[in-house]
Parts: sequence; structure tokens; C-alpha cells
Amino acid sequence: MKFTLCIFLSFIFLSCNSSNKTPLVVYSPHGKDMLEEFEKRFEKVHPDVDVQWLDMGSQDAYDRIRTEKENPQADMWWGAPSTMFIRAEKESLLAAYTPAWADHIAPENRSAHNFWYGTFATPEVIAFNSHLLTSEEAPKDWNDLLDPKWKGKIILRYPLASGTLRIIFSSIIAQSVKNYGTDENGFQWLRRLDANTKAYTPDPTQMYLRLAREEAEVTLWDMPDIVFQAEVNHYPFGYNFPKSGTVSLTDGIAIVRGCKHEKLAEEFYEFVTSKESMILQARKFYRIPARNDIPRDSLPKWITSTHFTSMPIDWNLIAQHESEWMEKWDSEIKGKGSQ
Amino acid sequence: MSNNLKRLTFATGALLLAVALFSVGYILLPLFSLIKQSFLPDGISSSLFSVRAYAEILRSTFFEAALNSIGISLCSVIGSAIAGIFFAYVFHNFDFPLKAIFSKLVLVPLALPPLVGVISFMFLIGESGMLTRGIAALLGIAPSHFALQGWWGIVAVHVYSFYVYFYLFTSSALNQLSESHGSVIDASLSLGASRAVTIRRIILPMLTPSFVGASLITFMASMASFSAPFLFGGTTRFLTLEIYTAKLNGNDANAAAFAVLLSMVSVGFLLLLRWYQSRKSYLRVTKGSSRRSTVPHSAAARFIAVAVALIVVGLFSLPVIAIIILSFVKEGSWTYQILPDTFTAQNFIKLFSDTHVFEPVTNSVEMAFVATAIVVFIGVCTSFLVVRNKFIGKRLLELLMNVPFGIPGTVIAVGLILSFNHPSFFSAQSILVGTFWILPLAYAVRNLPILFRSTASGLESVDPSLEEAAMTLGSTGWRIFKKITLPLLFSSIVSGALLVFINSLGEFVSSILLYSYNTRPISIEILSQLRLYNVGGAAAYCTLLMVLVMAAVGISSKISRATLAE
Amino acid sequence: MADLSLRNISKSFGKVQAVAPLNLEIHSGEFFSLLGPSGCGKTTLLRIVAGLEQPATGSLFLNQKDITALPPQKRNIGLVFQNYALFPHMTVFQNVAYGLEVLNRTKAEIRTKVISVLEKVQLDGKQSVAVPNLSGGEQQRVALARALVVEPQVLLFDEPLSNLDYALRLETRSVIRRLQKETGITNIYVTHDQSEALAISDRIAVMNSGAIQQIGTPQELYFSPANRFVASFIGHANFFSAEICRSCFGIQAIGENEVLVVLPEEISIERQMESTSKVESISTLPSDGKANGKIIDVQFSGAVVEYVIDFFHQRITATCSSAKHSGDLQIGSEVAVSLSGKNNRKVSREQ
Repeated sequence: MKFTLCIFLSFIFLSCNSSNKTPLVVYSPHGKDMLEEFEKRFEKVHPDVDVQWLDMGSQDAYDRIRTEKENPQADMWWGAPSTMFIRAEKESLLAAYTPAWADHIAPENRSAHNFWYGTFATPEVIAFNSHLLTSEEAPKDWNDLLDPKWKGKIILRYPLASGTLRIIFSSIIAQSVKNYGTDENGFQWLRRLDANTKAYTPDPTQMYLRLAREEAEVTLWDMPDIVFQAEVNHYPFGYNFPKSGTVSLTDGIAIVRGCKHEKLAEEFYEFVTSKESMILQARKFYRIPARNDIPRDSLPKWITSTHFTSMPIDWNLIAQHESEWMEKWDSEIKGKGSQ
Repeated sequence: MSNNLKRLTFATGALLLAVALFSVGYILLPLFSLIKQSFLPDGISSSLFSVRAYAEILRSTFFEAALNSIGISLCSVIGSAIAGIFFAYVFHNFDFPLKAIFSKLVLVPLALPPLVGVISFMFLIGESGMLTRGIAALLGIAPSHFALQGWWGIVAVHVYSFYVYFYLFTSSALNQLSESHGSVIDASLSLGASRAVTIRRIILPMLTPSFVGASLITFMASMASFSAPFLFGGTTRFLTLEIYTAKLNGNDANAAAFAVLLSMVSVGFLLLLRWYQSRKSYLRVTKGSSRRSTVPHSAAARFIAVAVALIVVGLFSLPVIAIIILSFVKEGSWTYQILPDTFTAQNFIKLFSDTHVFEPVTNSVEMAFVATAIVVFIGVCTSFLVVRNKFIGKRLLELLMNVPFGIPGTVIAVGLILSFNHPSFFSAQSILVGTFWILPLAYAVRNLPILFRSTASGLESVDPSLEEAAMTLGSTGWRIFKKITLPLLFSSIVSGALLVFINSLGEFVSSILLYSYNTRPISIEILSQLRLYNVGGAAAYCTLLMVLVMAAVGISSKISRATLAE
Repeated sequence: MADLSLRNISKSFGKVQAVAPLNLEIHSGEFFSLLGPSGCGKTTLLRIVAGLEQPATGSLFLNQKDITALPPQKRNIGLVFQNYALFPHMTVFQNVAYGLEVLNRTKAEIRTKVISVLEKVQLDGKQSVAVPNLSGGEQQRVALARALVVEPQVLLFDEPLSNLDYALRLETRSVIRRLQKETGITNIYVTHDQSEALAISDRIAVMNSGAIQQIGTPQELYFSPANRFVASFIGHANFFSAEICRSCFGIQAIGENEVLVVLPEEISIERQMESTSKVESISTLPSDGKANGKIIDVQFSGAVVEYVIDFFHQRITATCSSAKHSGDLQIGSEVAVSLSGKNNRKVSREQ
């Protein structure tokens, strides 16, 4: 008994020795490696600051910020698709801030009222297992995916939980609204995609895993991640840009409204979106900068050699209807495409 | 004798007050916040009270999801019952070589944190799992034909994780039966009843209350289970997944309404079984001792039963082996092969070269300690009050102690956030969200039912006349508790506390909503690795977690033995 | 040395009245027994005395001091449980020492006292044995030692011998009796075994359905039972109606609603060859020693032989000492039943 008590008390004691540095709390989906790198770099410049990052999916980050609205715990929200930021802006979760480079970004990649700014461009691609398929054999455009020969060979992230898939699906419906004046054609298309889809995975790891382990041959995902997995982890992944044009998603950054260290957050904001940082992120962490003033020769070849056509997309229409569309997909289409 | 329950004294009254404050503040209040949220479809800041969320979910997917959830839970109960009762019976009735080791292996699923279990299951019985591919290669059939997907995948994971409850409940009941009531088996046999008849007419009915208890736990845990349906469920709807989906869509009121209805189903089942159980109870510790008595079996039956049991137990330890193998696999090297072929210690080297590696470990150990301490205090007090005293609201308190088991961890976490992101009486007017305390608190609330059940049933088997004897010898309340009740209860408390500790160590469902940088637990670190697709790194962390769990098991059995020897 | 006095004590559980309001005086140094069938309220009464139950009405006086409100810890009343209630996680020594430790006695004093009391109950040398390893009789004596060692003013026994075999019962009961005489402690002893109660008690209260039927010395209860219940419970007595008394035994002094109480050993039987089959009613029966009963069972139990006789469609029992048992009294023998002794105990026909 006494032994246990001693251990217990010593643990309590250990937990009390907190430092007197100012904490800066960052919610981010960018991953441990990249977050650690920028924590170290920022703390070198600001030795009195303790950067505390919480690595979590963008949806989880959004969830937490919403639940903590009355008593915000985070200072920064670094990383989420622009549509999520548009929603967060409407729900008054963000604080406005104009970065020094505000003029060097396309207007559709930032908030009109400075609540968030784009950091990275992430074009979506049709990815495939290169051990099983060549680029020629793999689907080359959106409609190729509906070919019955891919039945049971497509694996997708569960779209409700994935910002990437939400955007792809919503873009397809938005296209249908734009071209036909109704969302019906878009849902019809998604129904046929569902018929070919083998499974929806709950997290990206499952998707990579099942694609790499040949449970499926094709998926839809963002290009930088696919390149990263292929080049760094040597997984057998290849990709095709859809010929008719792809969805290019903007990943952003924002300060949390009512946060405890707003000044510090602004400094961190500028620090991780500086030219040097953007170049480092491109080279080491496979991110495509959204700023249009980064010298092209300082970027890696996989970015500069990339050419794709963008699908023109009404982001506000998507931000407005995304939840409703996804709910409809979830209750009326998921798993029912082959019926 | 008729009625040995005590009225409250000043001291027990104070205990009751503490327990009541805890259950009101940390169980009832979060539940209430949740219910409140479900009636405010326009957000918690609005004051527009409406049943719209309920109307919406009842009209759309609720019944489909509820039917699936209840169905899968019933299947899990049946599967767990078959496995658990079979093992308990074989281990109780037969002797065989290495029995001591095998009887430990049976308990492996308890020591495997759910997160780790689910990951290893994926690599074992998923479509490209080692087991699936191995069998496919042996039989020459495509692995997709017998991959455990959908319903059967979920049931497999549930049975694996929950059969232990049946095993433990049945084993202890069988021991009680043969030690205190052994003569009934002999009586039945001497009256000419066959083995089968004896088992069916005598043993099974006497064990029914234990089965009911285990069924309840398994049912509630399956209803609240998230990871298994999430990973194996495919496109089938389940209540826990509907909560998650509604939340993802930003529809908090619908999520809360789903959670409220899910809790109602669980609590309904709890009440149903309570009512049933209150009518039947046969096993009582009787006076005197008789010899241990078992049902005789033929040599062939023994051989087959033992062989089947040992093979299955062997299979049950595969997930642990799978995780250990994975932790040595070179990142990205295992794709189309049946078994990985490139091994490396790199994952561990990388793990230990990280200067922060021990932060999540100490965090988890610390928080699990605090949670266990809270649970032991509240759980022991409550079971003492409920089993030995009579007071108004006793049934309600007992119910509250069981409720958290039927509520998904996410829901508990959200309830705690809603209740404690502003100053509250129950948080000493401070804000708990973002602090250290909210995590152990969530762990404590989630695990309270485990300790409460094990302690309460332990206390029920302590003869109240022992406490009365101490009283007539001049001993007073606290001293009797310390010197007589506590030592006799000690082993049930330690085993309950161990379970709580293990569960808290690997908890992630509520942690993911509650942790902050300074309190990030091991499970979050594992998830972080997985998010980056560092499966090897994640497996290395899982291995570390299992080592911690084993250390906890070792220490607890040492504590148990040391106290016994004292 | 303690007088115990129960005044107007009653207790009910829900709607069931376990103890009807009763008064009882137990004298200092007395060995007092509560005797009755199971469920008669005797254990409840004992637990009220110990303080483990609160009476619904009435009060309890120990040496003229009201102790009704005192908790069990402060009463200095010891209790030996039916199932011994030994602390299973302690050794014999620790069990016995427990009460002394509560009183904060010194280690040396505890040691001396425990060893001396263990000698008294013939358990010396067993101090360090774990309780579950003792035999039933030994456990019983540990329980006794544990209760005795704190020198209570009153010692209560709740059916302490019911889990022991016959020989051990006799042995342990004489230990209890001897220790009571040596220490002079007031004992209250609950039992359902009338022979046990008769053997060791100074006085006995016979209880039935929560009420005391009679209080008296063993002799008083045995030879002059107050009512039919006491007579049958204590002495397994036979009851004869007024009609039978007049016609068979020639006893006239008996009222119509009275019965004659006859103990088994007060009945004598004699073998007769003539049949009683012609006799049709009692009134036609001559009281001249003709056969009027038939033996339906004979039980030999060592010192005595017990005969069960069908006597005018009533089963009666008669005993005689084994030495007098004659071989021709067998099952089926026709016998003449007559009375020996004074036969002047009459009780009401009703219970």
C-alpha cells in the first residue's frame, strides 16, 4: 500500500513542474514531423515561447474549436480546407488578421474579411497502385471511374469524415447545379461511383494501407500526399490528373477568436507562412504553396513539372450546401449505388 | 436472517454525500447537458426549445441504426457467451499441462487496449491480413471470400474483446458453485441424472445470474462500441456511427439526440435485466466447507474440449504477436506478401531517439493513476453504501453507477466539455476544459461501473456477521472497514482497479476530444503515427503500451500477494 | 456481573411481527436460554440485546442502565455467531486478539490474555494456524475465546453448536457450561434443541411466533408446562382428551376443554393377546387391562427404547429404559396402555 502511494505521489509531484514559458497552442492536421520542425524553428527565434501543437485531423480540429467556443483552448488553427474555414467564419469562430503577404494570393484563396488565408494548394488526383496498374491502364478522367471494370476495385475515404472527399463530392454536385440547374445529375453520378466502390475507409491510413496491400486498385486523393507516400515511404502509388480538369482545394490558416495569446499567434502566423517556410514546406513536406510570389526555381521539380487544368468551382455554393448534400449522400446513396 | 441493512450514520451519511456529489456532478450533469443540447437544434446559445432533432432522426435513419446496433450487440452477447462459458467450463473441470499459463492467456484481451486490439485485428483478419492471406494461400481462394468484414468482422472483434466478462463471471460462479454447493451436483448425479441433464437442469440455472450480469456488460459495451463498427462496418448504419456522422456534419443537436436515445436503449436493457436478476439468485456463500465437486467426463470428451480450448486460446494471443511483428517491419516493405519479410529495429530506434517519447508515457501513467484513485474511492464507497446500507435513492445511485458503461466515450467527453467549459460548482468554480483534471475525470466516469460491479459483488460475498462480530468486540465503523471489510475485499478491489488502470492507459475515444499538449496520452501518439502512415512506429508505441500494461499486471499481483502475506 | 432487563421490547420487519412486546429479566451470572422452533423470533431478540437490531418499542436495561440507544460497540456484550464469523484473513491468535487491540491493550497484555483464554478452550498451540484450516469444533472454540477474552458483561450465543456433530456438540456444550460457571458471566443462549437447553440452562424462555410461552427452570418446563406448545416442544408429551382419560384411565377430574399431558416415560404398556378389533368406540371400552393399542414402530436409541403406538387413531409415544425392553414388544404387537406417575398436569385444549 505504502509503495503504491509513494509512486502515486511522486507522479503527482512530477506533473507539477511546469515551465514558465508562454504556451502557444496550435491545432493542426499537418502531422508530427512538420509540426515538430516548425516548433523548433519558431522556439529558436522566440525562446520564451512554448509551441504546443495538437496533431489531429482538420475535422477534429474544427469540432474541438466549435465545442470550446465559450472558452477557446487553441490560439492557432493551421490547416483545413477553405470550405471549413468559410463555415467557421460564419460561426464566428475565427479572429481576423491580415498577413504581410495578403496581396500575393488569389482572391478565391482567402477570406474577403481576412478571417483566414490560403497556405497550400492541393489538387485532387486519381491515385492507383502502380504495382498493379500503369498510368495508361488506370482511369484518366472522372467518368472513367464509372466503368464497370472498376467495380469492387475503388476504395475511398469515408467522405463525411474527410475534407478532401467532401470537396470532391461537393464539387461534382456543384458542377451539376451549374450545368443542369439541378443537383440530381451529380447525385446520379455519385450513385454510380458508389456502385463501383468497394469500401469507405475511416481514416487515410486505412486507405493507403488497403491500396498498398492490393485490396483495391484505385482511389481519389490529393496529389501531395500521394507523392509523399511514394517518394518517402516507397509505397507503390501513382496518380493521374483528371483530363477534364480537377478540383484544387485550398488549405488555410487562421487565428482562433478569443484566444489567449493573439499577438504571439500573429507572429506564428507570419513565421510559418513566410517565403522561407513555404519553400521548406514544399521541399521537405510536399506542400504546394498557395502564395503566388514564391520563386519557381526554389520549388522542387515535382511541383514545377506539374500541369493540370482546374475545374471552375463556386466555393460559396459549396460552403453553403455542403452539409446538406453530404447528409443526403449519407442517407440516400451510401452503400445503395448497386441496387 | 431477514434484514441486515443498516441505516445511515453520520459517517456513512458523509460518504453518501461525497458519492452523490460525484455522480450528480460528473455523471448526471454531463448527461443533462447532452439532453439539453438535443432539444436545442439551433445551437446551445439559442434558447429555442424544440424536438426537431428527435423528429429528424426518427424520420430518417434512427430505426435502421438502432436495429443494427441492437442486433450486433445481441450477436456479440451470444458469441461472447459461447466462448466465455466454454473456456470457463473447460478450465474449471479439466486439468492439463501448462494450465497455469493458458489460464493467463485467456485473459489477454483484457490487457490489450481497444485501440491496439483493433489495429492488430486489421492486420490479422482484414482482407489483406496475415491470417486471411495465409489461409487464402493454403486453400487457393481469393482472400476477399472469407475476410471478416461487416457484421461478422464486428462480432469477431466484440467477441474477442468482451468474452472475458463471461469467462470471469462464469469461472467465479463455478468456483462458488462447486465449493459451497458442490453437493447439488453430486445429488443430481446420484439421482440418476446424466451429465447433460445435470448441466442443463442444475448447473446452468444456478449460473444464470452470472450470465445475466455478463450479458448486461457485453450488451452495453457493444452498444457503445465505436471503433469496431467504424473499421469493419462498411456502409451499415450503427448508432455510434450516426452520432459521429451527425457531429461531422455540424449537426450537434442530432448527434446529442442519437446519443440520448442510445443511452435510453442501454439503460432500458439494464433495467430489464436488473428486474429479471432481482427475482433469481441462488448462489450464496454458505456456512462450512464441502469438498470441490465437478461433473465427470469421458476421456475423449476431455481431450476434444481441452484441444479446442487451447487452439482457440492460442488464436486469441495472435493479435499481440501480430503487433510485435509489425513493430519490427520496415516501413513500406509489407504490401503484397502474406507475411512481412524485411525486419528492422528502426521503429524502436526512432521511437527512443525522440526526446519527447516519455512525455505521453508519463502522462498516460499519471492520468491512469489519478483516474484509478478516483474510481477506487468512489466505487468502494458506493458499493459499501449500496450493499450494506439502506437509504432513499439507493436504486437510483446503483443505476447511475452502471449507466456510463452504456454511453459511448465520445458522448461522455462531449458532456464533460459542455458542463465544464465554464466555471461550475462541481469544478470549484474553475474551468476544467484544457486542464489536466478533465482527462482522469473522463476515464474515471467511463470505468466506474467496472470497479463498482467487482467490488459490490465482492462485498456481497463477505458475510455481514463478520462486521457484526467486530462490532460486538467494540470496534467502530472506520476500524471495522479498515481491518475486516477492506482486507477481505482487497482482491476484488485490486482486480477491478487493475482493469480501470489498463483501460485508462490506452483510452482514446474521449481523450481525443479532451487532451491538450501537456496531457497528450500514448493513444494520441499512436493515432498521430497512424495518421502519418507510420504503421511500424504506431506498432512500436503499441508494443510499449503493452509492456506498460504487463508491468501494471505484475505490480498488481505483487500488491495482492504482499497484502495476503501480511 | 450483570442483570439484564428487557421491558416491552418488540420488533417487526415490514408487516411481519418478529417479536411481540415482551418483558424479560435475566439475572446476574445466570445461564439463560431462549428456546423455540426456527422463525420464532429468538435470534432477533438476541440481536436486539447485542445492539445489532433496534427494537421497535421498549427499552433494554443493563444493571439498571438504559442501553437501548447504545451501539453494539459500547455495550460490552459479546456474541458467538452460529457460523462463528471468524475473520478468515487472520490467524487464530489475531482473531482472538482483535477485541483487545480495539481496547488498545499493550502487546504483552494481549499476548498473555490470548494465550490464557486459548488454554481455557483447549486450543493452546494453535495460535498461528489460519482459521480456514481449523476443524468445525476448533473454529467454534476460537469464536468462544474471541468473545470471552474481552470479558464482556453478558455473553450471547446464537445456536453455536448447530453445525457440529453429536459428540462435538456434547463436548463443546460442557466447555461452554464450565467456562460460564468459572467466569460467572451472564449467558444468553439461543437454541432450537430442547435437550441442549435443558442440559445447560439455569432458566429457559420458550418462544413461539414472537411471543414468550413460558419462563422457568428446566424442571419446571419439563414437568409443569404452561401450555400444550411447551409440553410438546420440551417433552414430546402425549395429550389425552377428557373422554379418553375417563374411559381408559379412569381419571374423572378433567374439564371438557382440557387435555391431560403425559410424558412418554409416564406411559406403560403391556403386551396383550386379545384383539381390540371388536371395540368400536371408546365408550364401550372396558378399563380392565385389555389390549387397546398397537405398536406401529419401535426405535432403539441406546439408553431408551421408544414405542410409537396407535391408540384410538392417535399416535402416542412411550419410552422405557433399554434394560426393561422385552423382546415381545414388536411392531404389530397388541398392547394395553396405562399411566404411571401422578398425571395431574392438565392444560387447555387450545395451544
